[in-house]
Amino acid sequence: MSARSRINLLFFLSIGIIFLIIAIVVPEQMGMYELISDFNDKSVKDFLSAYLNGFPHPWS
Amino acid sequence: MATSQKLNLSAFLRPVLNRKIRIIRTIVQLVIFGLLNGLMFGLPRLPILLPIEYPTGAAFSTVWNAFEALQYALSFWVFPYLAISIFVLFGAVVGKTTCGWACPFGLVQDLVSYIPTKKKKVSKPTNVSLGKIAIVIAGFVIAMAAIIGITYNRGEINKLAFGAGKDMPFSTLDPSSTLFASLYYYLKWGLVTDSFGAEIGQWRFMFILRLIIFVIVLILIAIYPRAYCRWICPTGAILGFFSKHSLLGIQRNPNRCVSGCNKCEQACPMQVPILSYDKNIKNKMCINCLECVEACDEGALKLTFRF
Ligand code: SF4
Ligand code: SF4
Ligand code: SF4
Repeated sequence: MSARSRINLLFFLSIGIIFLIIAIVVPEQMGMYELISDFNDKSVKDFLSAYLNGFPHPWS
Repeated sequence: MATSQKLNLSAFLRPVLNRKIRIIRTIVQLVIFGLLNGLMFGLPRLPILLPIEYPTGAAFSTVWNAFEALQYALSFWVFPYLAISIFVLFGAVVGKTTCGWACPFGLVQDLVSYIPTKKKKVSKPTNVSLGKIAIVIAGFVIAMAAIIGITYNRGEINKLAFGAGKDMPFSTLDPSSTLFASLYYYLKWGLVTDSFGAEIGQWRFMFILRLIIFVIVLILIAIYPRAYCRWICPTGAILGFFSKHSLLGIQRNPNRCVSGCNKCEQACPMQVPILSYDKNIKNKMCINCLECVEACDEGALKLTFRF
């Protein structure tokens, strides 16, 4: 692997790890992560509108 | 007698043995598809993001689609650290292996490619140029999600103006969501509750548009294998940005590749110009599917960690 590729790879790896840590540590991000974890049938109905746009009688 | 039976058996098994990597890959894809639909077998939803085209809201989905999570966070004006880290880490470590081995819409495209229609290829420069469409789509969707986020930031209620696309703009049209979520829910709620004929009159614009896009993509991938991955998919485009210098990837041994037979490039569904690389195949389209490795009789290609 060339030096340029190595630098590129290490740069991406460090960005990825830093962002992952921020996502786990920062409270606002934790909120989003909790939302992702809590994603269940109760919250699913509103979320589903993206797939059901123009859908005839979805819950009739 | 025994020898002739052996010969017959090996002749019979040859097509299977020659395609063993593809068979293993298809089995892995099917098993992962089963796990992604784990709710069906009593598995829980997991707080995991994967860079694949499978709708988070599919009825039995166990994981989040990372591109949907990215749009979702942005549309609530939260910087998508988690989604970006998933794209960067997957791309940098395993490249686009998830595309070759895990993505359900990739599996659909592989299955469609088995339909014996006449397959076509585009020229290498055209393949690269068309690949830019996916980058434009990804950029447009991200910008759209950010605009929705800004609107949300000014007042929660304003976001509703964006209708069904208010959380995840791309998911209102993408063919993977049409296949795995919309059509499923339509069959479950739409068809069952009423007669099909009565429903048709009430179909609305977006639903028909979704179906039209889906059919166009289906025809496209039947003619050009993995065309959606190569030219349209924003998940693949974002992953490709980080996968060019990935740790895991294909390596070519020029000492073994003496014939220059080109079988590898012929076999590659992504039309990667393998022979234009000296050693490491650093191409953002490569999905580590190993079709080229299987096609090379000289054993000049291998999948390896390349640091
Ligand atoms: S590029 Fe293809 S395989 Fe990869 S996520 Fe998109 S549809 Fe799936
Ligand atoms: S270069 Fe090889 S591994 Fe990569 S996409 Fe093409 S056939 Fe698959
Ligand atoms: S199939 Fe193998 S030997 Fe033939 S051109 Fe490709 S790498 Fe070289």
